[in-house]
Amino acid sequence: MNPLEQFQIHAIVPITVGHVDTSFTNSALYMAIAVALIYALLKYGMKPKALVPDRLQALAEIFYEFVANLVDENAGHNAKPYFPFVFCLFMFILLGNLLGMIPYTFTFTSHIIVTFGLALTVFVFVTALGLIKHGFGFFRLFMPQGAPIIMAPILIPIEILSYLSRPVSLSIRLFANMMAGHTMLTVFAGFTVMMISALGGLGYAIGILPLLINIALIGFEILVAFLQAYVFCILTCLYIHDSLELH
Amino acid sequence: MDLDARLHKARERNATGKSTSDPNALPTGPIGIAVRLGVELLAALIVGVGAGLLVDRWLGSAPWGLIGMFVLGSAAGIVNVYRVVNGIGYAPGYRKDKTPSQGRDVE
Repeated sequence: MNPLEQFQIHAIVPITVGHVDTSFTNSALYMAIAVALIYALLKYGMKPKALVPDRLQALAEIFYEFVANLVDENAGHNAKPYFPFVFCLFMFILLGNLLGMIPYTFTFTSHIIVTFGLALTVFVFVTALGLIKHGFGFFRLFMPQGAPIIMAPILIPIEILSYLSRPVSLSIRLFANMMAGHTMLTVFAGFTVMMISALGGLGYAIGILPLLINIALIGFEILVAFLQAYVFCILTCLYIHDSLELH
Repeated sequence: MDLDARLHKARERNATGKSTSDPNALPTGPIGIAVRLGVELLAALIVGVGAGLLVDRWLGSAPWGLIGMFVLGSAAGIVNVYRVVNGIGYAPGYRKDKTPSQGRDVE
Protein backbone atom coordinates (compact mmCIF):
# COMPACT_ATOMS: atom_id res chain seq x y z
CA MET A 1 0.00 0.00 0.00
CA ASN A 2 1.60 3.19 -1.19
CA PRO A 3 0.22 6.48 0.18
CA LEU A 4 1.72 8.40 -2.72
CA GLU A 5 -0.05 6.30 -5.33
CA GLN A 6 -3.01 8.68 -5.30
CA PHE A 7 -0.85 11.42 -6.83
CA GLN A 8 0.05 9.42 -9.93
CA ILE A 9 -0.87 10.96 -13.23
CA HIS A 10 -2.07 8.72 -16.01
CA ALA A 11 -3.29 9.54 -19.45
CA ILE A 12 -6.98 9.04 -20.15
CA VAL A 13 -6.82 10.09 -23.80
CA PRO A 14 -3.23 9.79 -25.06
CA ILE A 15 -2.38 12.63 -27.43
CA THR A 16 1.07 13.36 -28.84
CA VAL A 17 1.81 16.57 -30.71
CA GLY A 18 5.18 16.21 -32.42
CA HIS A 19 7.33 14.76 -29.67
CA VAL A 20 5.43 16.43 -26.85
CA ASP A 21 3.07 14.39 -24.73
CA THR A 22 -0.12 16.45 -24.43
CA SER A 23 -2.36 13.64 -23.21
CA PHE A 24 -5.64 14.38 -21.51
CA THR A 25 -4.79 13.12 -18.01
CA ASN A 26 -6.76 12.52 -14.84
CA SER A 27 -5.36 15.85 -13.61
CA ALA A 28 -6.74 17.63 -16.68
CA LEU A 29 -10.05 15.83 -16.25
CA TYR A 30 -10.53 17.20 -12.73
CA MET A 31 -9.48 20.68 -13.82
CA ALA A 32 -12.16 20.49 -16.52
CA ILE A 33 -14.69 19.28 -13.95
CA ALA A 34 -13.76 22.16 -11.62
CA VAL A 35 -14.19 24.73 -14.38
CA ALA A 36 -17.48 23.16 -15.47
CA LEU A 37 -18.79 23.22 -11.89
CA ILE A 38 -17.81 26.88 -11.41
CA TYR A 39 -19.46 27.78 -14.70
CA ALA A 40 -22.59 25.84 -13.84
CA LEU A 41 -22.81 27.40 -10.38
CA LEU A 42 -22.53 30.94 -11.69
CA LYS A 43 -24.64 30.40 -14.82
CA TYR A 44 -27.53 28.44 -13.35
CA GLY A 45 -27.24 29.87 -9.86
CA MET A 46 -27.67 33.40 -11.13
CA LYS A 47 -30.35 32.52 -13.68
CA PRO A 48 -33.36 33.47 -11.49
CA LYS A 49 -31.78 36.88 -10.72
CA ALA A 50 -34.13 36.96 -7.75
CA LEU A 51 -34.08 39.74 -5.18
CA VAL A 52 -34.46 37.07 -2.53
CA PRO A 53 -31.99 34.41 -3.68
CA ASP A 54 -32.61 30.70 -3.60
CA ARG A 55 -29.90 28.37 -2.32
CA LEU A 56 -27.72 28.19 -5.45
CA GLN A 57 -27.97 31.91 -6.09
CA ALA A 58 -27.08 32.61 -2.45
CA LEU A 59 -24.00 30.40 -2.80
CA ALA A 60 -22.88 32.20 -5.96
CA GLU A 61 -23.47 35.58 -4.30
CA ILE A 62 -21.57 34.57 -1.16
CA PHE A 63 -18.51 33.66 -3.21
CA TYR A 64 -18.79 36.85 -5.24
CA GLU A 65 -19.10 39.09 -2.20
CA PHE A 66 -16.39 37.27 -0.29
CA VAL A 67 -13.84 37.74 -3.06
CA ALA A 68 -15.01 41.29 -3.79
CA ASN A 69 -14.43 42.24 -0.13
CA LEU A 70 -11.09 40.45 -0.15
CA VAL A 71 -9.89 42.46 -3.17
CA ASP A 72 -11.26 45.71 -1.82
CA GLU A 73 -9.67 45.35 1.60
CA ASN A 74 -6.29 43.97 0.62
CA ALA A 75 -5.55 45.39 -2.80
CA GLY A 76 -7.14 48.80 -2.27
CA HIS A 77 -10.07 50.52 -3.93
CA ASN A 78 -8.17 50.98 -7.20
CA ALA A 79 -7.95 47.24 -7.64
CA LYS A 80 -11.55 46.70 -8.81
CA PRO A 81 -10.48 45.92 -12.41
CA TYR A 82 -8.46 42.96 -11.18
CA PHE A 83 -11.35 41.35 -9.32
CA PRO A 84 -12.16 38.83 -12.11
CA PHE A 85 -8.58 37.54 -12.03
CA VAL A 86 -8.62 36.96 -8.28
CA PHE A 87 -12.11 35.48 -8.43
CA CYS A 88 -11.07 32.94 -11.08
CA LEU A 89 -8.00 31.98 -9.05
CA PHE A 90 -9.99 31.58 -5.86
CA MET A 91 -12.76 29.47 -7.39
CA PHE A 92 -10.37 27.27 -9.34
CA ILE A 93 -8.14 26.54 -6.34
CA LEU A 94 -11.08 26.08 -3.97
CA LEU A 95 -12.87 23.68 -6.31
CA GLY A 96 -9.62 21.81 -6.91
CA ASN A 97 -9.07 21.41 -3.16
CA LEU A 98 -12.66 20.45 -2.43
CA LEU A 99 -13.01 18.00 -5.34
CA GLY A 100 -9.97 16.23 -3.94
CA MET A 101 -11.83 15.62 -0.68
CA ILE A 102 -14.26 13.28 -2.45
CA PRO A 103 -12.94 9.70 -2.23
CA TYR A 104 -11.42 8.25 -5.45
CA THR A 105 -10.90 11.68 -6.98
CA PHE A 106 -7.66 13.33 -7.95
CA THR A 107 -6.43 16.54 -6.29
CA PHE A 108 -4.75 18.60 -8.98
CA THR A 109 -3.62 21.25 -6.47
CA SER A 110 -1.37 18.61 -4.86
CA HIS A 111 1.00 18.84 -7.83
CA ILE A 112 3.64 21.52 -7.60
CA ILE A 113 3.67 22.09 -11.34
CA VAL A 114 -0.01 23.08 -11.22
CA THR A 115 0.39 25.42 -8.23
CA PHE A 116 3.62 26.80 -9.67
CA GLY A 117 1.84 27.47 -12.95
CA LEU A 118 -0.82 29.42 -11.06
CA ALA A 119 1.76 31.29 -8.98
CA LEU A 120 3.80 32.10 -12.07
CA THR A 121 0.68 33.54 -13.75
CA VAL A 122 0.21 35.78 -10.71
CA PHE A 123 3.89 36.73 -10.72
CA VAL A 124 3.98 37.64 -14.42
CA PHE A 125 0.66 39.50 -14.14
CA VAL A 126 1.78 41.51 -11.11
CA THR A 127 5.17 42.36 -12.60
CA ALA A 128 3.60 43.42 -15.90
CA LEU A 129 1.05 45.50 -13.99
CA GLY A 130 3.82 47.27 -12.04
CA LEU A 131 5.81 47.96 -15.20
CA ILE A 132 2.76 49.32 -17.02
CA LYS A 133 1.69 51.53 -14.10
CA HIS A 134 5.11 52.87 -13.12
CA GLY A 135 7.42 52.23 -16.08
CA PHE A 136 11.02 51.99 -15.05
CA GLY A 137 10.13 53.48 -11.69
CA PHE A 138 8.98 49.98 -10.83
CA PHE A 139 12.61 48.98 -10.37
CA ARG A 140 12.80 51.30 -7.36
CA LEU A 141 11.29 48.30 -5.64
CA PHE A 142 14.67 46.62 -5.60
CA MET A 143 16.46 49.43 -3.78
CA PRO A 144 14.98 49.94 -0.30
CA GLN A 145 14.43 53.59 0.54
CA GLY A 146 16.85 55.09 3.01
CA ALA A 147 19.53 52.46 2.49
CA PRO A 148 23.05 53.82 1.97
CA ILE A 149 24.02 53.74 -1.71
CA ILE A 150 27.21 51.85 -0.91
CA MET A 151 25.09 48.85 0.10
CA ALA A 152 23.40 48.70 -3.31
CA PRO A 153 25.61 45.98 -4.85
CA ILE A 154 24.60 43.61 -2.05
CA LEU A 155 21.04 44.78 -1.44
CA ILE A 156 19.83 44.78 -5.04
CA PRO A 157 20.62 41.11 -5.77
CA ILE A 158 19.10 40.12 -2.43
CA GLU A 159 15.95 42.12 -3.16
CA ILE A 160 15.70 40.61 -6.65
CA LEU A 161 16.07 37.09 -5.25
CA SER A 162 13.53 37.89 -2.56
CA TYR A 163 11.14 39.12 -5.25
CA LEU A 164 11.75 36.03 -7.39
CA SER A 165 11.08 33.76 -4.43
CA ARG A 166 7.48 35.02 -4.22
CA PRO A 167 5.97 32.58 -6.75
CA VAL A 168 8.02 29.73 -5.29
CA SER A 169 6.82 30.27 -1.72
CA LEU A 170 3.27 30.83 -2.99
CA SER A 171 3.25 27.54 -4.89
CA ILE A 172 5.06 25.50 -2.23
CA ARG A 173 2.59 26.58 0.44
CA LEU A 174 -0.47 25.39 -1.49
CA PHE A 175 1.10 22.22 -2.87
CA ALA A 176 2.70 21.15 0.43
CA ASN A 177 -0.53 21.62 2.36
CA MET A 178 -2.60 19.61 -0.07
CA MET A 179 -0.07 16.85 -0.58
CA ALA A 180 0.72 16.46 3.14
CA GLY A 181 -2.96 16.36 4.04
CA HIS A 182 -3.87 13.72 1.49
CA THR A 183 -0.83 11.59 2.31
CA MET A 184 -1.72 11.73 6.00
CA LEU A 185 -5.31 10.66 5.31
CA THR A 186 -4.11 7.65 3.33
CA VAL A 187 -1.50 6.69 5.92
CA PHE A 188 -4.04 6.67 8.74
CA ALA A 189 -6.57 4.78 6.62
CA GLY A 190 -3.76 2.31 5.87
CA PHE A 191 -3.21 1.72 9.60
CA THR A 192 -6.79 0.50 9.97
CA VAL A 193 -6.49 -1.87 7.00
CA MET A 194 -3.14 -3.22 8.24
CA MET A 195 -4.43 -3.79 11.78
CA ILE A 196 -7.45 -5.72 10.53
CA SER A 197 -5.40 -7.92 8.23
CA ALA A 198 -2.74 -8.56 10.89
CA LEU A 199 -4.82 -8.95 14.08
CA GLY A 200 -8.19 -10.13 12.81
CA GLY A 201 -10.97 -9.58 15.35
CA LEU A 202 -8.79 -7.56 17.71
CA GLY A 203 -7.79 -5.44 14.69
CA TYR A 204 -11.39 -4.38 14.20
CA ALA A 205 -11.41 -3.11 17.80
CA ILE A 206 -8.10 -1.21 17.68
CA GLY A 207 -8.51 -0.23 14.05
CA ILE A 208 -11.29 2.12 15.06
CA LEU A 209 -8.70 4.51 16.57
CA PRO A 210 -6.98 5.58 13.31
CA LEU A 211 -10.43 5.80 11.79
CA LEU A 212 -11.47 8.31 14.47
CA ILE A 213 -8.32 10.33 13.80
CA ASN A 214 -9.17 10.25 10.11
CA ILE A 215 -12.61 11.69 10.75
CA ALA A 216 -11.02 14.63 12.57
CA LEU A 217 -8.42 14.94 9.80
CA ILE A 218 -11.08 15.13 7.09
CA GLY A 219 -12.71 18.02 8.90
CA PHE A 220 -9.32 19.67 9.20
CA GLU A 221 -8.59 19.06 5.51
CA ILE A 222 -11.80 20.78 4.47
CA LEU A 223 -10.72 23.76 6.57
CA VAL A 224 -7.30 23.67 4.90
CA ALA A 225 -8.96 23.52 1.47
CA PHE A 226 -10.75 26.82 2.14
CA LEU A 227 -7.84 28.38 4.00
CA GLN A 228 -5.26 27.72 1.30
CA ALA A 229 -7.47 29.09 -1.47
CA TYR A 230 -8.00 32.16 0.75
CA VAL A 231 -4.28 32.56 1.51
CA PHE A 232 -3.35 32.25 -2.16
CA CYS A 233 -5.81 34.99 -3.09
CA ILE A 234 -4.88 37.27 -0.18
CA LEU A 235 -1.23 37.14 -1.23
CA THR A 236 -2.21 37.80 -4.84
CA CYS A 237 -4.15 40.85 -3.63
CA LEU A 238 -1.16 42.09 -1.60
CA TYR A 239 1.09 41.73 -4.65
CA ILE A 240 -1.40 43.66 -6.77
CA HIS A 241 -1.46 46.33 -4.05
CA ASP A 242 2.34 46.54 -4.13
CA SER A 243 2.33 46.92 -7.89
CA LEU A 244 -0.35 49.59 -7.89
CA GLU A 245 1.19 51.66 -5.10
CA LEU A 246 4.93 51.55 -4.91
CA HIS A 247 6.32 52.89 -1.71
CA MET B 1 -34.28 48.19 21.23
CA ASP B 2 -35.55 49.25 17.82
CA LEU B 3 -34.40 47.56 14.66
CA ASP B 4 -32.26 50.42 13.34
CA ALA B 5 -30.16 50.57 16.48
CA ARG B 6 -29.70 46.82 16.47
CA LEU B 7 -28.73 46.80 12.80
CA HIS B 8 -26.24 49.59 13.43
CA LYS B 9 -24.70 47.67 16.30
CA ALA B 10 -24.46 44.46 14.31
CA ARG B 11 -22.78 46.28 11.41
CA GLU B 12 -20.25 47.83 13.79
CA ARG B 13 -19.44 44.45 15.28
CA ASN B 14 -19.06 43.05 11.77
CA ALA B 15 -16.73 45.85 10.74
CA THR B 16 -14.46 45.49 13.74
CA GLY B 17 -14.43 41.73 13.29
CA LYS B 18 -13.13 42.15 9.77
CA SER B 19 -10.21 44.39 10.59
CA THR B 20 -8.83 41.88 13.08
CA SER B 21 -8.37 39.28 10.33
CA ASP B 22 -4.98 40.58 9.28
CA PRO B 23 -3.51 38.73 6.29
CA ASN B 24 0.05 39.67 7.22
CA ALA B 25 -0.25 38.34 10.74
CA LEU B 26 1.57 35.16 11.57
CA PRO B 27 -0.61 32.09 11.72
CA THR B 28 -1.54 31.10 15.22
CA GLY B 29 0.10 28.08 16.77
CA PRO B 30 3.75 27.06 16.74
CA ILE B 31 3.42 24.67 13.79
CA GLY B 32 1.75 27.32 11.66
CA ILE B 33 4.56 29.80 12.33
CA ALA B 34 7.25 27.19 11.75
CA VAL B 35 5.74 26.13 8.41
CA ARG B 36 5.24 29.69 7.23
CA LEU B 37 8.80 30.76 8.07
CA GLY B 38 10.25 27.49 6.78
CA VAL B 39 8.54 27.94 3.42
CA GLU B 40 9.89 31.50 3.18
CA LEU B 41 13.46 30.37 3.83
CA LEU B 42 13.18 27.37 1.53
CA ALA B 43 11.66 29.31 -1.36
CA ALA B 44 14.46 31.87 -1.45
CA LEU B 45 17.07 29.12 -1.21
CA ILE B 46 15.49 27.20 -4.09
CA VAL B 47 15.49 30.32 -6.25
CA GLY B 48 19.08 31.15 -5.26
CA VAL B 49 20.45 27.68 -5.96
CA GLY B 50 18.44 27.37 -9.18
CA ALA B 51 19.70 30.74 -10.42
CA GLY B 52 23.25 29.79 -9.44
CA LEU B 53 23.09 26.56 -11.43
CA LEU B 54 21.68 28.42 -14.43
CA VAL B 55 24.43 31.04 -14.25
CA ASP B 56 27.03 28.27 -14.10
CA ARG B 57 25.58 26.50 -17.11
CA TRP B 58 25.39 29.77 -19.03
CA LEU B 59 28.85 31.14 -18.21
CA GLY B 60 30.60 27.86 -17.42
CA SER B 61 31.74 29.35 -14.15
CA ALA B 62 31.07 26.31 -11.97
CA PRO B 63 31.07 26.25 -9.00
CA TRP B 64 31.32 29.99 -8.30
CA GLY B 65 27.86 30.95 -9.54
CA LEU B 66 26.32 28.30 -7.31
CA ILE B 67 28.34 29.37 -4.28
CA GLY B 68 27.61 33.07 -4.74
CA MET B 69 23.92 32.63 -5.45
CA PHE B 70 23.54 30.21 -2.56
CA VAL B 71 24.82 32.87 -0.16
CA LEU B 72 22.59 35.52 -1.73
CA GLY B 73 19.63 33.16 -1.64
CA SER B 74 20.19 32.50 2.06
CA ALA B 75 20.34 36.24 2.67
CA ALA B 76 17.12 36.73 0.71
CA GLY B 77 15.48 33.97 2.74
CA ILE B 78 16.47 35.67 5.98
CA VAL B 79 15.17 38.99 4.63
CA ASN B 80 11.86 37.26 3.81
CA VAL B 81 11.63 35.83 7.32
CA TYR B 82 12.51 39.23 8.82
CA ARG B 83 9.67 40.81 6.86
CA VAL B 84 7.14 38.18 7.85
CA VAL B 85 8.08 38.32 11.54
CA ASN B 86 8.06 42.12 11.64
CA GLY B 87 4.70 42.24 9.94
CA ILE B 88 6.01 44.11 6.91
CA GLY B 89 4.48 41.37 4.82
CA TYR B 90 5.76 41.15 1.28
CA ALA B 91 6.34 44.82 0.65
CA PRO B 92 9.87 45.69 -0.39
CA GLY B 93 12.05 47.68 1.96
CA TYR B 94 12.50 47.33 5.68
CA ARG B 95 10.15 49.91 7.09
CA LYS B 96 6.62 49.31 8.11
CA ASP B 97 4.00 50.76 5.83
CA LYS B 98 3.50 54.39 6.92
CA THR B 99 0.07 54.77 5.37
CA PRO B 100 -1.47 51.34 5.68
CA SER B 101 -4.63 50.72 3.72
CA GLN B 102 -7.48 48.99 5.46
CA GLY B 103 -6.63 45.40 6.28
CA ARG B 104 -2.93 45.93 5.82
CA ASP B 105 -2.23 47.53 9.17
CA VAL B 106 -0.07 45.44 11.41
CA GLU B 107 -0.08 44.86 15.15
